[in-house]
Amino acid sequence: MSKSTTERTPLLSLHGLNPAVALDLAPGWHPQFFPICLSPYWQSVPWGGANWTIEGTSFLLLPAAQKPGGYSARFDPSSPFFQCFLGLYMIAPVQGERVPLDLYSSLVHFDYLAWGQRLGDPAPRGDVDIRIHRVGVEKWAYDSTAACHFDVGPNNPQHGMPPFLTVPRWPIAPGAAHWSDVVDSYDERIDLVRGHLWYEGPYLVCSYFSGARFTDRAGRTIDTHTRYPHVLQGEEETVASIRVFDRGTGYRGPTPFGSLNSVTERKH
Amino acid sequence: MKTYRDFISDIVDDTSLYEELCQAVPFSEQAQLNDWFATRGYQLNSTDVEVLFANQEEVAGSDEQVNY
Repeated sequence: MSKSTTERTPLLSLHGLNPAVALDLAPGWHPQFFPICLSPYWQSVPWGGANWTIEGTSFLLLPAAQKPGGYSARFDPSSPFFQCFLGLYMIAPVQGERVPLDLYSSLVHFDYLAWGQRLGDPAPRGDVDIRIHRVGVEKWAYDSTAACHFDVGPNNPQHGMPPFLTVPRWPIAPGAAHWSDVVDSYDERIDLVRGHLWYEGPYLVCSYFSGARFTDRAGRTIDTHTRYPHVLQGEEETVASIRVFDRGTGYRGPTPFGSLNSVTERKH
Repeated sequence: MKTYRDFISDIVDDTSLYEELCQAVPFSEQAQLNDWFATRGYQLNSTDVEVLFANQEEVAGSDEQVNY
């Protein structure tokens, strides 16, 4: 599929989920939503002196592979998109009531644990520090940092994932870029995540896009958004183009898959 | 003739069109997909067709999902 470096791809979620989502995807991103049911990981979210059970979907988008049939550049240290992601959460109301914004950082925390678990991190981490400010009627912007781990390591699943997400444990060819050249497995990383929060009727929508700050094995501190401003610009523009449409059929998410039962959270 | 981008804008306001599309997928051939849009007044470029056709996998099964 040949595309110019600036052309945007209109993308529509086709899963029959509700609400549905459309956006204009910047170059460098894989043109497919990966909808993930996060409800199993949000069964007991502490907030306001109570534990909340939240239903929600992440419409995740990942950087395109550098080569056809290869794995996402998210896992490729030679790519400007290394460790980047973007997308949005669609969060269903609880007993007809909108979910408060203040739960957001806890929801993200559990998502980090779940993602880390799936990618084989023996002790996933996702400590989120968030600043939210109002930018309009029922619309807020936020910026946040998340102290977390790289999702590359020797336990990355080699089966049961599409090739796009199957990260080889070793370089697949002499001289090929591999995460182990640049970072240690499941090493510390800071995600720099921004986005917006708003309500679409009863639904809380949380857009997100990220860069990463980390120290590589050579001792250099790298901030991907500073180093690759075109990636940041593409992420911002993609997230700004998000359109959500509620077909009035009630919340419908993807099929649940896993659970957090086996996660042992590392305490810092 | 309207574009695929117009189609996305239209379905935000008219979700019945989106329902129709969800009912129609998966198309077995790209030409079939193209015809579906053309009969509703939308002309898709080749990239739109390729992306949309590939994304039918999202609906068809879980092999391409990032379940976790």
